[in-house]
Amino acid sequence: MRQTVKMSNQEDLPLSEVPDPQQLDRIKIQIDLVLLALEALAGISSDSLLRAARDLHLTSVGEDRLAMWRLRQSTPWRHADGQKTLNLEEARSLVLIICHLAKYHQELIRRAVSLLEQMTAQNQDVQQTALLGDYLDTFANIDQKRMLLEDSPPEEVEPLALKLLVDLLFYSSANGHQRLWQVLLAPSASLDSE
Amino acid sequence: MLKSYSVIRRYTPPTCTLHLLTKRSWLRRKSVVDALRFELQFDDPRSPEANQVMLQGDRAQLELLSNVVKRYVQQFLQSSSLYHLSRAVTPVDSSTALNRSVPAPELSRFTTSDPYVQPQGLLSHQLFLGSLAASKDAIELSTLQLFDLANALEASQIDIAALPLEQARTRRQTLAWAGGTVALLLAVGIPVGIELWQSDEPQDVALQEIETEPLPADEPAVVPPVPPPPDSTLIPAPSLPPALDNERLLPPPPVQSPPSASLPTPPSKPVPPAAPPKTAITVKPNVPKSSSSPAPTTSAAPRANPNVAPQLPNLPTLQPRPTQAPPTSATKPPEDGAPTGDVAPKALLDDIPQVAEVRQYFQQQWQPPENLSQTLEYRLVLNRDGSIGRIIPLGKASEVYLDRTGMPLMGESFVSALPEEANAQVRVVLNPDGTVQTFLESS
Repeated sequence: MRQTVKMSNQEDLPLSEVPDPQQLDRIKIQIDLVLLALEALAGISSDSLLRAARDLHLTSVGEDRLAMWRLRQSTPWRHADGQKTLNLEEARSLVLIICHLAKYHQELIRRAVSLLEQMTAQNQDVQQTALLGDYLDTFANIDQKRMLLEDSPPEEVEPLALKLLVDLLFYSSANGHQRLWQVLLAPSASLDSE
Repeated sequence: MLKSYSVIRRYTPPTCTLHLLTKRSWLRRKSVVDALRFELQFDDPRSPEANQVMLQGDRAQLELLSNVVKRYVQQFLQSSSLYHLSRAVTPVDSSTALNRSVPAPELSRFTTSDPYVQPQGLLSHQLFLGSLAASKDAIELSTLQLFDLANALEASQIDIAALPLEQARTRRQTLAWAGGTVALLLAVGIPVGIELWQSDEPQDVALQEIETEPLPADEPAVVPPVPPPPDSTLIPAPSLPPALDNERLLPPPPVQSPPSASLPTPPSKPVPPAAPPKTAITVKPNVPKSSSSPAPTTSAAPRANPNVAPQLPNLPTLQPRPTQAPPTSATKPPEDGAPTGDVAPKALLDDIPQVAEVRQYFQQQWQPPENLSQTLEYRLVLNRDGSIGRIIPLGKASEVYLDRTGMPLMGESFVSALPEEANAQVRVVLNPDGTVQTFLESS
């Protein structure tokens, strides 16, 4: 996957305030979900992630963390004792890695979204297409292991997966990493109950 | 396309095309951004004809549209993210319960006549054109169209911000190359002229094309036969390359065998196997012409020498110019601007010492006026005794600024006496950055 790596780096992802732990938690989840979509669509292995990290010269995602990825059991920030932690540097690195990979797979993502639009416009079930059908199946499978959506009823998984697919498109552009970063850091006042 | 405008940038994602244009006569000015206009064509082949609208406007409108779309995209992604979170996070207690309904993105309206975007379900977006409306008030955009539009607009904003810097750099590079290339042309043209004259062949037409013409007044700064800076293969090494042979004076860069400079590939386009065909291709301005070339930067090569006559036949193999050993004792390296000995340092292609003397004189004198952005050129006809016989300004700017150049008066003693023939002609080039070049035109 050797390619010319654009000069985007951590300086592109500014930070005015350090997020509180709650926000960090939410950031973790969102990164998890975007990554899940990318894996489900493009079949990204932990090796791709490692390679991307190296291509981008990112060292803050430690080798030991990424090694855990290889086990395909957990996301990198789930330590042996089950505790999840993610610091901001790691979040930045992951954003860069994910968007780098999304950029690489942009054609595929684009095709998937195009199919989605067509099927929707024609009122047809997206499962009928190989690309989207596989995506949704894989998504559900990985999620079962990751247990991100364990509280959601199954019928909500599909729209969520499709929404993530659309998001992925926007994150695959040249400045996708900035878009994702901004989303992650946005104030989440609306999350509080009304 | 607007008349008298040139395209200076082009963005061609699959579902729309964005052109940035500026007036042709403004291309050299520092403030090209002020005359900037855009044309945005929605040309998704899959969308109905009614939707294939073209928008136009000035720079401010483009910026407004870009901000509106950017903000909308961000809000769209934001709301999507909240939706994900609401599905993924377990409510711990009522005080942190998430709102499980999907919040709609705010309408990104600044003022009532501004364009704005509204979502229509998950996959469709309505772009209300506001003051940009032409044939239609609103356009329906699919996700892909919104994506392409947002990317093209954002790329355009980045490029516009970088325009003044790029212009300044291009101008500096162009002026630096101008002298070298003119020198090359003269160096080759003169022996060719002599050769042809002696061999009595009817090839005058070709030779005339080599001679540089008076600078056109409306195209400031650049001597016409200057190739764009990236084509540095045209710049002579002290000994002319062996590739020079019959009928190939200045081979177009793609043909040249030892390419010393390859065309710069755009750094922002990584080339993975699955690369998108064209998300955002930009065309850099090609000095001096920026006419309607649609191709990306690789088009610089074939267009390298618009004005140079490539078909000079029967060129003799040119001897390398003696630059290392001037006749007298000075052992300076060539092209050294600071004189230390009695002899003015020789530069490349000085034929007679007077050329260097002229240059030395002007280097000490020349103070470019602050508002001058063009190169001034003069043909000086020298008398036998070294005084100036005639001063011929080339181009309007040269006429205008003549009295600012410190040009000596006619008849005033100027350089050393010419040993052989009378009436040597020297070209003087005064650059706005303060540098000076001189060449022997004929003797």
